[in-house]
Amino acid sequence: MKRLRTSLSLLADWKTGRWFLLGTTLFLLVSLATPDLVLRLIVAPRGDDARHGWWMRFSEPSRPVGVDGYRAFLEAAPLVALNPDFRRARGYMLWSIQDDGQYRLQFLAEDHGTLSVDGRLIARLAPGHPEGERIETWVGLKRGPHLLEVDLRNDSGRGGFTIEVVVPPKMSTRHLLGPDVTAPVLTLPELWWALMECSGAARWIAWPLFVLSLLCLLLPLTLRGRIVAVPVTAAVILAPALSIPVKVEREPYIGDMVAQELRRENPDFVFIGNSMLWSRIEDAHLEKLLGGQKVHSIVNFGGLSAVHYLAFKYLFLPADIHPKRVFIFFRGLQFTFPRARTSNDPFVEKIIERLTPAPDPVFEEIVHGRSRTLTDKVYDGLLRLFPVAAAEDRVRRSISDLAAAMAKGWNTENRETKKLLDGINKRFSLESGSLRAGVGTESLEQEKVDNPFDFYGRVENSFLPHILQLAKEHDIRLAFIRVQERPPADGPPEDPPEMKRYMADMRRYLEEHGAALYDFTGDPELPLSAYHDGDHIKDQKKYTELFYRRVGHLLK
Amino acid sequence: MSFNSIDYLLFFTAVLCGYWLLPRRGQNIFLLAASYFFLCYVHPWFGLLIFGVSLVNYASGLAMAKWPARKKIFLLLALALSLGDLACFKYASFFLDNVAALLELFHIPFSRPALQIMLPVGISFYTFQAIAYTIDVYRGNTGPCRDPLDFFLFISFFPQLVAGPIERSRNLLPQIQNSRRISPEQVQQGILLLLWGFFKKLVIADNTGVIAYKVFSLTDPGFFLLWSGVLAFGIQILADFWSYTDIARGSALLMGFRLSRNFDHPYFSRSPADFWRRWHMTLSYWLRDYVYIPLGGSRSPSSLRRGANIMITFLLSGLWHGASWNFVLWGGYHGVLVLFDRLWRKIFSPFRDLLPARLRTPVLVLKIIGTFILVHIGWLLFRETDTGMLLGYLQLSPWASSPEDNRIALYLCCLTLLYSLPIFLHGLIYFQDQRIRGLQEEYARPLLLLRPVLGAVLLLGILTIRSPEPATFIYFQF
Repeated sequence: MKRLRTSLSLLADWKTGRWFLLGTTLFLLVSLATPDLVLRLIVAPRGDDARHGWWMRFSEPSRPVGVDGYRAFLEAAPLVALNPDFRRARGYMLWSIQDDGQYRLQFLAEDHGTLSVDGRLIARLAPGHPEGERIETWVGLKRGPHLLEVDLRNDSGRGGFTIEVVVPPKMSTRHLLGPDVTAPVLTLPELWWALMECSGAARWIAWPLFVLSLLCLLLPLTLRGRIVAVPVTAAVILAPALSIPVKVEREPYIGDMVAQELRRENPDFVFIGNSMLWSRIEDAHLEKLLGGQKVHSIVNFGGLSAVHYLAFKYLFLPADIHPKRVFIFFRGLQFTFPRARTSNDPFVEKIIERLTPAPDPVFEEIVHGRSRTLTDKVYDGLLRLFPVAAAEDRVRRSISDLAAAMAKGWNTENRETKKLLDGINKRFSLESGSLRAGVGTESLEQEKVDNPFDFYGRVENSFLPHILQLAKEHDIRLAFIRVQERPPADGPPEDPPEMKRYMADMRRYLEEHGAALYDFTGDPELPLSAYHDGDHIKDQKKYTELFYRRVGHLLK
Repeated sequence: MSFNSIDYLLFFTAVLCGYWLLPRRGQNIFLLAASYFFLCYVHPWFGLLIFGVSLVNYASGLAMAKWPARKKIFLLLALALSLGDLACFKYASFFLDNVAALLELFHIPFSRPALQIMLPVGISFYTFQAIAYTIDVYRGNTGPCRDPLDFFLFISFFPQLVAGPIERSRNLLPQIQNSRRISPEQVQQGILLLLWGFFKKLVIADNTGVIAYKVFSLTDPGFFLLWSGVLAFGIQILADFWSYTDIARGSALLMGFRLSRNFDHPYFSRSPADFWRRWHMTLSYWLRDYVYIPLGGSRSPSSLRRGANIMITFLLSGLWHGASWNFVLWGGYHGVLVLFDRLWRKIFSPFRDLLPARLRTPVLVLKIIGTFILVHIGWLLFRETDTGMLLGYLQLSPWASSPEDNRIALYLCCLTLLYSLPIFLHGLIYFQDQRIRGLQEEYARPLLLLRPVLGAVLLLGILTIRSPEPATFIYFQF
């Protein structure tokens, strides 16, 4: 009681109480604004067309399409028809109910999908449902705003959906912030409250944050000077990070699409690599040199040995074709540094997700298994402990989008943002040709080892034996091409003795397993003037010709 | 061992657990062992080096007390050995490069010995800390520390070993010599400092660092694009270095030590001289007490001499940061700024009272913006080590910049401002509070009530906005 009185007197004192008031107001606003912020900053900017009250969000399409391919449009009042190129779309709409009662909803999706109201699943149309089938369901709803959410998948190339409110058809909307966002007729505080009430996942953030804020503001006052303040503080700090759930969606697998393309082309030679390959081999020119034989390159920018392994296993092998040879381009020691460029880089992580329909056991074992140090395991474990860490990508993208919108004068139109970000990516990319020497090329990162040149000591824990094994099982002839790194100005580079020994061991190992190796290091026709930036080559055609001359025996 | 690694998290947790189980003497032995482990974790030889520096300064302190008549000899000996150590490891290559370049200019053949010297982590910081102690003993400002354990711990105390703050013996030694106590408030404060430090490093510094890196990777940035990169670098270096200090202070606080503040919201400075009172404060005070004042300081009779004292101090400050001409240039630039600042004040101070009260705030804001811009021009000199590129940058015209580059620059500026918003908000809250209460102790009252909530928000920020491309602390190289 005494402590409570002390706390209250502290509150009554303006000097300490004003911070309490400020804090309470601030966090009340933050808590109430959370769903609104989520919808406006995360959902709405991703929506391509909100003119008719729907915020639509699209995941990556199954294949590259122009910006226009993302557009959604409204054909008839209740029907939203979508461009068939999307793979997954989510739409949100605020629906204002005037009277309590039972409402009959009809849901029809041309492909398959779900309909939820206030986070509750109302209807699900399974894949392969008969054409024209509609789900009809009764929902009890109270007066006030409710959040409609559709989650659509598009496997068949049809993408429209219809929601029909049969009894009573009461849906009223008004413009809130210009033509881009619509919401029910509500005052601002009502809208905040409504969004918090009905915004599904956001509610789980807002309410605990609100309650915690109040608790946290009161606790230090009542616990001042008491040792229990320490665990309470720790608990308050950790609670949101430990409890906020975040669902992570994998990138769509592109293997089927690539396999289809490979089957259609049925190439005589397949090349796998990263930008080293991209800046060196021009498929069309090589085809001409080969007298019309078909060539197909699978390029994964930024990928190293792990990505090459996944590309071979999940992009090339599912095509079930038998080219005369598969070439894999690499640089230096990358095949015995299997963890290089596999994590801590969202760009590469996304590539890896696109290459695999599900986590690959060999990849998991090598990257996250036995080759991980104790500290790496602790780090992974810590991240797993905090599910909110999975939202990293999404939050960072929102910040980037917000910056883009600010730079565009608060223009949140998706197409404009994308245009700006594409321009930025192009400016800082290798293709722009304006990067300083040595910048932007891959490195073996922080994977420090005691004896990096011990090929036989390191190869068993790498992807190389698995690539060779797969090739053997599928009767594929492999050739590994080591590219020459940027030479010094005074002549072709020469490997140090330990690297020469490493390459000799690698050659022996590959030949023992039926694969070939060609090393371009020291080639007199690759002086410094042939290089563009880093280890990238200036003239693809010239290099392709050199490749044809040097590696001709492997192209027969 | 870097603060932003899991290794440090494991190490610090283990140290903290063991530390509070021991009595004071045991705590000091344990901390000394932990500190040497912390340093030797990078390279075992680094431990030997710091041991040598500690031994020389410890012995000279005792010798000065025993033979006061010869204390100058002991001081010079300690200075020669400590600074010689620094010169050998940090400046030898730079010196040889310049000798070679000079001899080449006169066509004198010189075969430059190939030195492969690894810069010992934190050498500039602990050498300056040790020297300060010896000079203080020489001046009689402090007594010699007789307990070798206490002294060796004072030099090698791991939280501030690698990148400061550069502690004075009168602040840290008594804390080592006496037993430590800790209150729940201190724990809260320590945890918050740690979280704020990690947030500044992992979220602000590393994210803006990527922007700066991208811009400085270009061979042909336009005028505005270049300066957006400089802005990003300015935020990066502040957040990076400040974060180190906060993590150091937070770690120390959890063990019952209070380390000095090293930053006081430097981007709210009103003049270049004010900037140096807020940026790397412990180095500024060190240079003031052990270089500027011994040179004569502002009491020198001739104004030329006073100007020279400032320039010498700032050139040394630049050289302290790194063995490269761009750092010297950066130091010289700040020296010139401070000189101009003094001149400005001399001319305009009689008119200061004529300024109407309603214009004081706008003028103050203009001063802050002006200083911010001047400091960022300095950061360009600091960041760009290639003289050719630097000259090219300084010749860029804003009119020749392409619209595409301008759009990108605007986006990068917005992104930098979004990431750096917490630092500026923190500054505004802090100054507002200082204005009302006249409080000096950071994080004392204003955050008391909000501490756990702020901690939760910071943790969420670290988990969700941390950069995927973590970088080492910039000041590790100094």
